[in-house]
Amino acid sequence: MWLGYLLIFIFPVSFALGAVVTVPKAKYSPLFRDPGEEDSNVGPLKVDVTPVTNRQFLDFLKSNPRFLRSRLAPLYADRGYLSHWTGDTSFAPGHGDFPVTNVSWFMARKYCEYQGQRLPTIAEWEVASDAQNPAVEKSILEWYAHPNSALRAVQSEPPNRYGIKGAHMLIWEWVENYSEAILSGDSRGGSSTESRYCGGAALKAKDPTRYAAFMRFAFRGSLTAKYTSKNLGFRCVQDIGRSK
Amino acid sequence: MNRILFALLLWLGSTSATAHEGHHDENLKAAPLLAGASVWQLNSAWKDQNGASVTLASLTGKPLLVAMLYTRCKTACPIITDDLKAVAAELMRKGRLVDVAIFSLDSFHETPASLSAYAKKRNLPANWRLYTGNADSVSELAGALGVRYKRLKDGEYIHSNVIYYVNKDGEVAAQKEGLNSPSEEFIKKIARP
Repeated sequence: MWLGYLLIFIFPVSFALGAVVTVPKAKYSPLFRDPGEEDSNVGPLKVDVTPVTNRQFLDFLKSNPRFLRSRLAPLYADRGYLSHWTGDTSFAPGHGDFPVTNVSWFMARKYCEYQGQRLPTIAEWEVASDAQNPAVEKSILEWYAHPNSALRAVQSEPPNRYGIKGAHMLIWEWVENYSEAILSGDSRGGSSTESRYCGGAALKAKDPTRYAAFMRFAFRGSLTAKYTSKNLGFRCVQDIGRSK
Repeated sequence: MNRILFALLLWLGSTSATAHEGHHDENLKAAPLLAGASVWQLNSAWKDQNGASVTLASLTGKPLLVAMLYTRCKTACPIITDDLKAVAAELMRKGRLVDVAIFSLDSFHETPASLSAYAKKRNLPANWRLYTGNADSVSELAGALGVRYKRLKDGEYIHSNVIYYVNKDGEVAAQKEGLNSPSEEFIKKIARP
């Protein structure tokens, strides 16, 4: 009897955090296309239901103390790393289930790797988050217009059609290949490649009305591997056939 | 809609300003953080043009000119290579022999043999080392240096054209961006005792 109550109370929580859903194979249409770039297939893929939380990240740090805020080598993150935490292993009461933010690409990657997972690619993230669904676009834009809204517990976010929570309107999320978002100036080529690199990003846009997708592209284009921000977190994915 | 866009742009603007500020701050306070900022602490494995296995840690202790490119590249990469030659020669004239390390972005095709062929074809000096590693090693090093790159469907890459000066502690101390860009400032920073 008591065990039954325990299961009821504990199971949903442990299930919601760290749970993965399978996102079926889908087509990804990039907003910006480089020469020869076509639609690509994504998945099937196991994707974390929720973004990684402060509590989950703390558990990871306990096993990997060299990544504690006070010990982390500056190569791996800027000074904002976990700056919202109150100490090396503490954060504000009640924030355990909030998404962890102020983490760099290096640290997000290390977390996923430790779990036997990896960061999603841009294509995987865009598909899994259902970002290409026009019905979602409007509300995403509204959130982008108020980017500093307060964080919330990840479980309470509404699931999208794949069962994924908090992909929009909560935080921005790291992707493995953020550096592929090259807006301009980064890679001006030689004479014969001038058009490839210098055309101006907007001209490459497939559908310029997709502001939300453009904002994500621009945001990724501004990221560096050490960068941290109070509204930038991450979730992990794993390839089918690999056990977590 | 315009109002939303305006807010977005404002916010993005402030985001990138913050990023730059942070970077600037780091440069100013780099001195006490030398070891921890070393790019050579990345635990990745590479092979050089002779097929020898090399860890990044083994590159500590000597300043290096570093670039990431790939040897099949026909457009930008030969120009970076020429830029590297010119910078190394200018440093030599100023009495500084600085070795060169080229890391390939192309984990799919690059091999010690293709690196060696490139070194021969481009007549690269003996103190130049070329390295190839797996996709993970490439993305970590690119992240640490700040190289952006994208593999295209035809197997070519779009990538940053940057030459880095990495000091003996493994820290990026100067960089020259763009092809055929002026190198006076870059060389001045390196040549400074």
